[in-house]
Amino acid sequence: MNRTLTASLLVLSGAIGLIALLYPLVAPALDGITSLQAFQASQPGTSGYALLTTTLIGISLLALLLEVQGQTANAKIIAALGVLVAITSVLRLVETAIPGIGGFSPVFVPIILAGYVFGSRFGFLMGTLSMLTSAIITAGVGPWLPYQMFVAGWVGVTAGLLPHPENARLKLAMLAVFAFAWGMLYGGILNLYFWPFVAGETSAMTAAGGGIGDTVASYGAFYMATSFVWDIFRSIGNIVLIIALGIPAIRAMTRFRDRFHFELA
Amino acid sequence: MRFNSRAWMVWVLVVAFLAMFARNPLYSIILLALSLLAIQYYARIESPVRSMFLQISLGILLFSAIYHALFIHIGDHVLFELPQWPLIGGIITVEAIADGFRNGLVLIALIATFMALNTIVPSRELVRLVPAAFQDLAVVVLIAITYVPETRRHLRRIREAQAIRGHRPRGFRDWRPLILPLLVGGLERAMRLSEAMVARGHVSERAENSRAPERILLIAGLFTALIGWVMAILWGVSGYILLSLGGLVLVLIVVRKGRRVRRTSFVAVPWTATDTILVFTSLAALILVIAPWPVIGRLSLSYVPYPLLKMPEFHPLVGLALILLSFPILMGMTTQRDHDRMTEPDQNATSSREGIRQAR
Repeated sequence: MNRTLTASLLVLSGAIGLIALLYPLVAPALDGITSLQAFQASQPGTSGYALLTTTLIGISLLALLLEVQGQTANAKIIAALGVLVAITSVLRLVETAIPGIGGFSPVFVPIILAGYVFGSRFGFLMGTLSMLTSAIITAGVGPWLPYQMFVAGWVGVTAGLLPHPENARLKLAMLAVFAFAWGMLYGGILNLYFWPFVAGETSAMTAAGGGIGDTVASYGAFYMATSFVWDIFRSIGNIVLIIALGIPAIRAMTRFRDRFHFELA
Repeated sequence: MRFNSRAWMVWVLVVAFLAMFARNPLYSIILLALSLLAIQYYARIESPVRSMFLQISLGILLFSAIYHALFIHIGDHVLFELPQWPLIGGIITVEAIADGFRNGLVLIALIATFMALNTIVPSRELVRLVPAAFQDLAVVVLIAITYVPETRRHLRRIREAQAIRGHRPRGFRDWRPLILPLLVGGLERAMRLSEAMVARGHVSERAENSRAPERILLIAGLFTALIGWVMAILWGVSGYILLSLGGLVLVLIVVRKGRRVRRTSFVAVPWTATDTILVFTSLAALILVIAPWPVIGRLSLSYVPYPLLKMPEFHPLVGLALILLSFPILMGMTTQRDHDRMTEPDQNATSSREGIRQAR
């Protein structure tokens, strides 16, 4: 029963995130906006897709956190999470003070490694709480925060699902590819939420009369113009950090994981 | 004059909600001005932050205008025509550029609102706003915030120790001797901290986090919110009601769970009459703008510059509702005037002493 409820909650929250973020791509095909008049009629001006979606993502994130926080009931896990989040926040602070090239950011590698070693739930909390804490410290709280937390949480969750091969080189290669992929995906997904903010209700209009393919092409142009180069630097930075620090950091974390799970019978 | 952080939070959420809700540039300008004035009276921000905000704002306006000009080829005032390139080919119109500026303004107003929250409310009070139901997560965030200065000191100590040994970081691989001791040292601290927490009575394991009926209700609330979101996008008002219902279910669960948590507050933050007035005026402004009153010019909340560019409509009642949000600014102005008046006699005394000295 417990497991079924947890699985249902996780699947529903994940589905909500996906539906909400992918909606702008399918909107024109759904509501069939084909003319300016129809567009204007469909635009109450006050409906605010961005407002609705931020609310939905916020609700979904709160529900997920409420469910997943049961993992932190152990004092050792709470302390480990707190300290690892502090280290990640310091890295983000360094990044804010000395911006790296393009979108390079050292905050994703600790989230990936923590998720990989400690598991998906820990990874989810590490991702969401790292974004929350660093936003509080760097004065970055805003409507973008739920999205950042959500996607960083996904980074941690998926890292926990990766296989654990014995071969160190294979492990490193797998993590490097994974970090590269998330470097690109993070920008792509966050741009999906930012797109309607910048384009307003007109994001749908750009593909007026067209299908999903046209909207995807329109989003592709927006992504290439705003985020692609930025994300390439982030992904390459992730690979470099994983290669430089991955294996020894995993070894250190694994040693502590065994100590954290030690209990007297 | 200082407001309670909870009252500020209500004000910020209302301003942010209205910034996204009312997409008329005139109202956006009012909301932007309110946020900037709040920062001026209640926060001390350094000039680099101010210039960064200005640069970001100009960047957003410019990007949004160019984006709309290239992607929306509608409007009567044609500036020029691009060849039929995929996606961006077609006429470039004044209307599209104006629409871009309108959108940019909404974004800037939103950023300014949250800049007000970030600069006015201290980070510790922001953590205090976390509901009791999320107690464990709040503890993690508090540990992290407390350990950030310690982690920075730890990193500096490691750098100094490695420098004494002749280590100079050049490439990425040279960061390994800095980052790994930071990680291991941090995890060692986590061990010590967890032992201290258990010694001070922190419950080491809890078998169950949420009760099954609560979790079923949570799933039902989430599902209702999702259906509400879909309906709000496709059909409007009925969807808003369902979305709110889903949110309400979540709030009820959070309140219920929060009641089961015992919380100790060492420093009580006072709630004064001015906090109540701030919350009341903010909510009044929200209700006045979003409720479907027949006298409020709801059409003026939107602004579509197509097909012919025209001045945005300004409805005095909506303007009046937004003015309600200026309560903290009026209080800030009054406090500053009182402060100036308090310091004035000294200045007068100084100037009169100067006058007497000169007369002699």
